[in-house]
Amino acid sequence: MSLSPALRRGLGLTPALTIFGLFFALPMAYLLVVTFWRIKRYRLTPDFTLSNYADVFGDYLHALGFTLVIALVIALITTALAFAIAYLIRFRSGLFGQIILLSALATLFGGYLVKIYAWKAMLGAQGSVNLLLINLGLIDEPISWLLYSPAAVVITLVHFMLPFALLPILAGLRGVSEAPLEAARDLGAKPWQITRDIVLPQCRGSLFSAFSLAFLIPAGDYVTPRLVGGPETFMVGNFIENLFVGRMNAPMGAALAFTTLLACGIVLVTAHWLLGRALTPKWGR
Amino acid sequence: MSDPLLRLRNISKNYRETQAVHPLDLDVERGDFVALLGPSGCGKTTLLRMIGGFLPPSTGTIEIGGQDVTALGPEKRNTNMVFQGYGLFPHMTVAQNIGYGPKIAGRDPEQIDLDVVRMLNLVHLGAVADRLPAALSGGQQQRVALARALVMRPSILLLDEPLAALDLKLRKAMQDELKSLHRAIGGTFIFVTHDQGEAIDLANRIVVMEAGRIVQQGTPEDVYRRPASRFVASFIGDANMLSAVRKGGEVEIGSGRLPSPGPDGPVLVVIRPDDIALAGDGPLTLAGTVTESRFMGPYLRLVVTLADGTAVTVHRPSGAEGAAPPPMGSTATLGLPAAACSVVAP
Repeated sequence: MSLSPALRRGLGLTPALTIFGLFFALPMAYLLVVTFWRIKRYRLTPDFTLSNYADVFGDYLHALGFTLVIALVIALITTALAFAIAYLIRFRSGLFGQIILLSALATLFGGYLVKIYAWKAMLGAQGSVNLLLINLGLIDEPISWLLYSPAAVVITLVHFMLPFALLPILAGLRGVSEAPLEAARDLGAKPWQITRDIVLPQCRGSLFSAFSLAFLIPAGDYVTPRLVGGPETFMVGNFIENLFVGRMNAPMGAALAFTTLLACGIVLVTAHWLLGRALTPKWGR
Repeated sequence: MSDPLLRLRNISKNYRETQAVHPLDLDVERGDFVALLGPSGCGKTTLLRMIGGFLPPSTGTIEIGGQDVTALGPEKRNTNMVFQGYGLFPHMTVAQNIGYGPKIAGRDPEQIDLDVVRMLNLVHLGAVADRLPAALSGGQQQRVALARALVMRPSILLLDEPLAALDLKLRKAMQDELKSLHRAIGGTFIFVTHDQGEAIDLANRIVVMEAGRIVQQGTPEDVYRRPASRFVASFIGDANMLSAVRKGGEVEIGSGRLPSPGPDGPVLVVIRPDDIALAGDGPLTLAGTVTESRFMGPYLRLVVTLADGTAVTVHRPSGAEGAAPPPMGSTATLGLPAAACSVVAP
């Protein structure tokens, strides 16, 4: 008995779909259901109420907004830096490019927490960054806002995300061949015009993957803001964690999580649209 | 005489130990269709890329229209290149590919549209203006590359192996199209090729290169009929090369002598298979035995082996004389017209 190609293809996907269903779709669906439940006498009780969402919009909108802005800043800086480094590796540095790539990837060996603590040590009042600036005579006393501030969160997460953003962009740039770049130059384009008109549009997909990664992971992070963000930098992840763990209010935590998810989705769709608009040729027909 | 449009003086290129192009001079006149012809690795593409500004020469100067452009990059030269493999912008439509140069040059949008339409008509691509390059055939991509370069109205159009990627039939068609384009716009074209047939068909001047040097330049007929060296003779077309000796300004060959000024010593007499007559009665004849006779369509290919063992190839039109080919093993007397013989160093 032979199977139809479509069925065969479907069967081949079964393991992946099973894992996706059991460990992602089902828990997410459960969490979505929970957002409509409530807590009665410290117990999770099935219900259908929108009050969790109402509370989220009342109490946490500012945290969500702040989180989106900071994640957006991190994603933009990371994507731009990753593109610059990938561009150097691909087009400018020859063999030296491999060394740059290796040193960027080597930072992956240091774990997430190691990087956070490293930046904590470097950004503090007695940290190497401040000491360097003082010794160079650029500042007279340590910059206090380097650590325990949104800036520290941005610096730490940009550094953490950089290799993850670098790899897809580099893969995208490897697909850009040299001849069209020479052709553009031959037609009179300056280097920045070649980058804008020929290089960037051809790695649109990889730029978007890099941007998405560098946006989503910081948007959901709650460890970095706690360790280097200081007492006033709370991101939405901190509140979600607090709702689930500290206040045992799973419905509200879930509602906040889903609201964040939706907001991130909107940001990404918008980013995708803007990127497409910016990189689509607008001359000729 | 007017000044040449392109003037290369003492141009060379070396990469560390390898000398890709030895110092050379080259002039190209306005309206010329020049072929840089040679085997791969002879430096022809390097030379073309130096003319286009993609490679700085190691020595020498390049002048275009009397202006020294040696230090200028391709973006500042009034030359445009059709790249090997075309180098089309994959994310732009055909019209956008063609319009990119005018847009960068800051022509106004209406003018760009007019230019693009004019070019689309010139290369017969109006019907596919909105397609992406990936949706085009090789010949169509080639024409987009041509249009994209020509829309810039270059004073010299450079073509790097323009037809190499096309299949034989398409190549012939594109050769005709290139020729009529050249006639229509009256520009100056320089192209690189390793295909001698293509060079002879397209160019009005052929520059033959070997190992980084120009070994001969002239009209296709010059280069074919009067090869300057053994290399040129063997690279372009089929050639018989007969060993001979020069003594006192004459070369003895077969039954006669060929006047040939030069030092005494061994030489090669070059003669094309289609220049040899079968029934020889002139002053220069060679006697031999027919050892091969083959029908090749438009011509007969005969091999006549001489007494000393030298095999001479003769091409005769297959239809014209109506005579049957001489049978294998028969004796033949070959007539060599003196004017068709070139004497080169062995």
